[in-house]
Amino acid sequence: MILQAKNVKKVYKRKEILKGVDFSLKKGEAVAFVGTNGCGKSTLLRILAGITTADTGEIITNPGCSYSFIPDRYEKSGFTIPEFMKHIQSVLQIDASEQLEEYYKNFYLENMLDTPMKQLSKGTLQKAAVIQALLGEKDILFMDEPLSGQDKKSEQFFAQELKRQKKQGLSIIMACHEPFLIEELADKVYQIKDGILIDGTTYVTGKSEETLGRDETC
Amino acid sequence: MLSAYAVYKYEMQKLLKSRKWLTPLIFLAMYLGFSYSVGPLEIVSSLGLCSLVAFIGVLVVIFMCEDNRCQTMDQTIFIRLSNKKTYYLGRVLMVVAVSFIAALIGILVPIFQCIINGPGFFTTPFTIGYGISGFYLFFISGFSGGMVALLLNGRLIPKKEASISICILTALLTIVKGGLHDKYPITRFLSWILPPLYDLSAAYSHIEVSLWKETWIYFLWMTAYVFIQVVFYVWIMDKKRFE
Repeated sequence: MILQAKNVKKVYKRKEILKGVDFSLKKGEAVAFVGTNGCGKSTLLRILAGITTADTGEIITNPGCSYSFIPDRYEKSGFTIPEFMKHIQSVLQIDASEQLEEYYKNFYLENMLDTPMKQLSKGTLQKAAVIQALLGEKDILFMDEPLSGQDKKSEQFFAQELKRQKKQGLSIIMACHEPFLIEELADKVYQIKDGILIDGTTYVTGKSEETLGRDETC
Repeated sequence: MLSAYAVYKYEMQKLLKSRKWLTPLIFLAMYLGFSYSVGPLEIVSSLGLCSLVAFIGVLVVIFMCEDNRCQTMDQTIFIRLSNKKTYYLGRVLMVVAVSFIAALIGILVPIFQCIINGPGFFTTPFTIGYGISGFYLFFISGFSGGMVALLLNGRLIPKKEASISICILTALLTIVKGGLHDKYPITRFLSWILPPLYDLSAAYSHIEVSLWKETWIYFLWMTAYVFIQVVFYVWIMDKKRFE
């Protein structure tokens, strides 16, 4: 077990978003949280990632376990993409220039590297959010609607890259409405309903609608 | 500590690119330009008064920077750190750097004026002791102002109007603390929570015989206060994280 959550509860603006969630994640496993907007997918993801704290409950991780995170949007800032990636490399204390070259090429960003991020479109900003999370060593990747606004080719490259990293032992937790990513990556799908995590279902390709429920995910 | 330095570089570049420092810098330059335009001046009272401006200046820069946060970008940096406290220490380092720059500008202007206008510009000779103590006075005042701004950020006080109001009120009360004590002695029981900037500035402005002998206790008090601000900020933000 690489990550475990016990009886996680969260109240937000007097509303109980999570009512005692128990969850565990194995090494190399990919799980998806699905559910209606505002059901607590992102909140649970952020609590598991340590970005937000739970009101009660416990998150247990292996010592030295490292994370990365793809948010659902990136802010417009004065950085160019390479400038921001320099900071990520600096935090990770790595030199990933070759990897970055490859990602810039495969995400079709080569012509936008000198443009400040405040002038980039939502989809392009999201590509920056994706690339920073792919850099460096990590044990768990947290993704919150990672594909918002991206083109199909980039989506496909992203899924391939994640599959490759997953084979090498990367665990993935995603909160998303995108059947494409769930079909490509998820080993288990959990539904969040009324603040409770409904038991993980082993995912079978092509059975997504049965598991996810057409109305609630797409 | 390397991670804290990496966060500091990120925060500093974000601040520089946002240009939020420009308006406070113009005000600081204008204040220094006017206050050091006509001599002869008393060194200690002019430096003491300038420390209040350094406090306000750094407070405004850091508060505006806090207001301009890139929440999700910050989160992607934050999650990569094995020791989450280094994220907040990196932000404190940014306040240190801004305070250092403000202190440098604050002390270089009177030194240049003294060089250009001759020793008669100040009523007493401008010694190295005044230079060092003045620099530290500006630095620690600015640092405290920056920490006030960090502590009154949007994550701890979600309502923006409330955050701005409390910040302005804290800054005003810190500066007028002495006058408030004279008029309403009861305020002493509450005002101890504010930075001891007035006490330090007043003590510095009224040096009669020995610079260090008369002020060291106030410098120590202010330094201890800033240290507590830093420890409290790192502790509370580590508890609070990104709500």
